[in-house]
Amino acid sequence: MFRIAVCDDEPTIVADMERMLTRFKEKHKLDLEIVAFLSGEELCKTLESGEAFHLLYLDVCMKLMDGIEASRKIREEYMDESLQIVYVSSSKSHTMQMFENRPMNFLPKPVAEEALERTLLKALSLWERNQSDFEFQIGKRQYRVKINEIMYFESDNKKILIHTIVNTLEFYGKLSLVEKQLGGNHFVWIHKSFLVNYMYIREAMYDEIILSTGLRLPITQTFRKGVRDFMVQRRKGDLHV
Amino acid sequence: MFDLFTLHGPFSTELLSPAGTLFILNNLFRIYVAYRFVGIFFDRSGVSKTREMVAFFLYFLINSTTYLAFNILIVTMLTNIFSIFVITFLYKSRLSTKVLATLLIYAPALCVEILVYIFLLSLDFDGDMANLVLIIGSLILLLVVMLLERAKATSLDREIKSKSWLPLMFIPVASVFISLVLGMPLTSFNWVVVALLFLLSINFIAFYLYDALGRYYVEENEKQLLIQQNEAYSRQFELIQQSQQSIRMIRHDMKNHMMTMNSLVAIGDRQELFEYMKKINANIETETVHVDTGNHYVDSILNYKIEEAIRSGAQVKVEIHIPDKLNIQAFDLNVIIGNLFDNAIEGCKEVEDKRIRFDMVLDRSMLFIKVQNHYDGPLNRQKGEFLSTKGNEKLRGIGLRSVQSAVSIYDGTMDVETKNGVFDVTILLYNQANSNVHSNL
Repeated sequence: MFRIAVCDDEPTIVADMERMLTRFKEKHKLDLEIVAFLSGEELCKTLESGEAFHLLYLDVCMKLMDGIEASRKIREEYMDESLQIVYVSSSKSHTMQMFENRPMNFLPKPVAEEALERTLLKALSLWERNQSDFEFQIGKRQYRVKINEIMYFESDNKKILIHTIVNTLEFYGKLSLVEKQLGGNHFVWIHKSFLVNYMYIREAMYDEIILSTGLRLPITQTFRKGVRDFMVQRRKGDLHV
Repeated sequence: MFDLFTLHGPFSTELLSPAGTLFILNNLFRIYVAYRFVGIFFDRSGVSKTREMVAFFLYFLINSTTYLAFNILIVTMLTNIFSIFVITFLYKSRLSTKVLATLLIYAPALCVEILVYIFLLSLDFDGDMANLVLIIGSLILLLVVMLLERAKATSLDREIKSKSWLPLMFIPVASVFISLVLGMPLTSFNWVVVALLFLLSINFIAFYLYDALGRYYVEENEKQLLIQQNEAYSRQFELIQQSQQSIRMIRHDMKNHMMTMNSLVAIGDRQELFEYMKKINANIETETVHVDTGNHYVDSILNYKIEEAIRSGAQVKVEIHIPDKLNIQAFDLNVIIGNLFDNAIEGCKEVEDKRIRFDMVLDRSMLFIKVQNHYDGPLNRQKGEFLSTKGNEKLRGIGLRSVQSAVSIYDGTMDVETKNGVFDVTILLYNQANSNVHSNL
């Protein structure tokens, strides 16, 4: 089930979006649940209580806690990178702050149906791609971890360390095989010993990346071109003429 | 010291014997090779074929007769060099080129001759075989010439800087000397020493030439940069001109509006005044603004380019999600966005589907710029650059090259994909704060 949260302090806008989303739900026959929030505080309280969403439409300017503050909390306090955020804003210009919380997209107000639909479909496809697990073996037992919980893989001698958002797991293996096993374009190989999940990258520079936790990992010279190509290929799938 | 003045070549032969005919034929062949060799250095187009034929035939005659009549090494060497030098006067060129060409044509020819000579001496062939080997020697020379023809990239008739003169001329001269020392069995120790010193000098010259090459590349790069800067400047200038034009129009209008409003106030017609002011307000709003991202540089560049694209008949769709301030210099953005649009507009000219899609997104400190447009016909891709389907080939290549070099300033990458008649460019720039960007303004 794909859970969508709509947060805006204007009830009419919230109702509008709910209506449009319900229409898409029927049109594409999707398994959606849509929940409405009228303030940033309400949203955050719900998130803190343990409820999770996959997609959030967030109004940027709300009284009291605005969208930027809410999204900051989501990324930095709750460390949630799998919740896709779409900023809904009446102003066409964006501040740098908005980008720091890694939104998936922006929607201008008044919200156009076609644009809304596109963001929904994009979020869905991203979610589907991220659903799979990573399987590995310790001794004779098979284990699996959700890919969207893995921040990065680290190789240490003959061992591979899986750094997830909750803990670190270990198994014997080679990073090159892990990369092949993962396939797709979720993980980028930045260093002989580091394979990083794109989702958990906060900032990417030509010679290092900063994870959402603040950890800095270097991109060695030989890997820089590969990293650039990875980033471009990821972007390419997005838009068409 | 070898006796250049009495040394006999090995090729004394009767003229009309089979060996003799072979010898004449070989000589003709050699002249042909010389003819080809000359073509590498000089522009033949201004000279009549008959003149050339006559000149080379004379060369052949003189060469053959001196060979047969005198058969003394120093004489044949000098006649050869002199004849070649005279031939170079057939063509229009600098004197320095003539001298250099003479040396560079003669030196390999002599080397091959001595090579053949040594070969024959060691194998002790007689007349017939001797001439056969001679022909092989000429074939080797022809091969050398053909390779040079292929390798030559520039016009060889150009100005030689005075400090390059000596090293350039020195190599063929030294080669001649060394060939003689190596080939003639009557050399004494001293000449071998001199030859070795010449060899040493040649190595130094090689180093010098390598260095000169490096300087050449640096100059080429600077030239390219200047061209890019010029293009960017002229674009800026156009932008300024356009906005100045708008300002002039506004100022002119304002004067008229003021006059009208003045008179309306004077006669006390408030209603009319309000209507008038409403109209002015409406006018102000209708400036064609295509994008308004909050980032002034990008807005101005984009608005200008989008307007240009629309005027050329294209339909432009943009999606821009960038902050109001980027760590990318406006100059470089201008080069990138400007050239990408020019490319897309150009590509659309020949097709029916004139849609252009332009996107700019900042994600995780990476700035992505995407352009998509349809194009017609095969793209000429040469050495990774794209040549226009239009005339101006060199110019189009520079456009995308400018983008590439602007992109590399930010350690970014440019990805170009052409599929199903769609030209798809994706650019990544690292929007790093405090990056080691050297401003090229």
